[in-house]
Amino acid sequence: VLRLSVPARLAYLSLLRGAIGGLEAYYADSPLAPASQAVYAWGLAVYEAATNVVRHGYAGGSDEPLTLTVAPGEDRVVFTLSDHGAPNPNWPYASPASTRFDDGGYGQHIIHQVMDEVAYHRDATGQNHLTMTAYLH
Amino acid sequence: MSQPAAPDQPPAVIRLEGELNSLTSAPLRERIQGHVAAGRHHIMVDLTAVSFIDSSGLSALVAGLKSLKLSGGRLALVGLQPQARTIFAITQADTLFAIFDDEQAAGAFLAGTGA
Repeated sequence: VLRLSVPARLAYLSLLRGAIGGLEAYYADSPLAPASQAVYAWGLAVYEAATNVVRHGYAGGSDEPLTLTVAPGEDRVVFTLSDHGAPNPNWPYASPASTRFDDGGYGQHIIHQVMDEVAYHRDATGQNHLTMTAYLH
Repeated sequence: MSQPAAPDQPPAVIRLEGELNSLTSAPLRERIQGHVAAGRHHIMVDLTAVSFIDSSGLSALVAGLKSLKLSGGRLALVGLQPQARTIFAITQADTLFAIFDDEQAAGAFLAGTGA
């Protein structure tokens, strides 16, 4: 399991995406090795989720930690973003009637298109946990 | 009020590099709006050196496309790399944009002589 914490600021989010890029090498010898395009898409989805935390959970940014946990399994990868910001305003997610978005609104759509399962909860300590699961096909 | 496109003006070319994300999308919006304000209604955005595009970057391109269409202009994307293209496929934004592999084809489109 990989755990990486960065300040909840936009400038640090590429580090999270970079860590996910390493999964391509991790699964290189697996019969279910994901295509590089899939790994890239996972990184994009996590980046979008992290951006939402910075923008909405921390009103633009904070030095509070934003933690990504990556748990690569035999048939799935589980990504969890944890933070102490404001509750996720985009949960539960309502799928849009159309993908012809106005100026914005793509982020949530991307997360739910890329990931097979998405779950959110806020624990008793006030910490948010967004769990995103991608199955290896 | 929108101005009519000026076909005799050469297209403006915006070359981007690195990541088109939450930190860099605002300057792109401003550059496109600056061209529109200056009467340049046909714009080519060169994405050859762009390795990553997030939803903020895509939104900036969509906003630019809408603005140009309102003024009778056109927007062409050129050099979109396979990984950066991912977000266009996921969001189906690839159906919104004129996307070209090379500048010649994009230029013909902007000149009104191509597809």
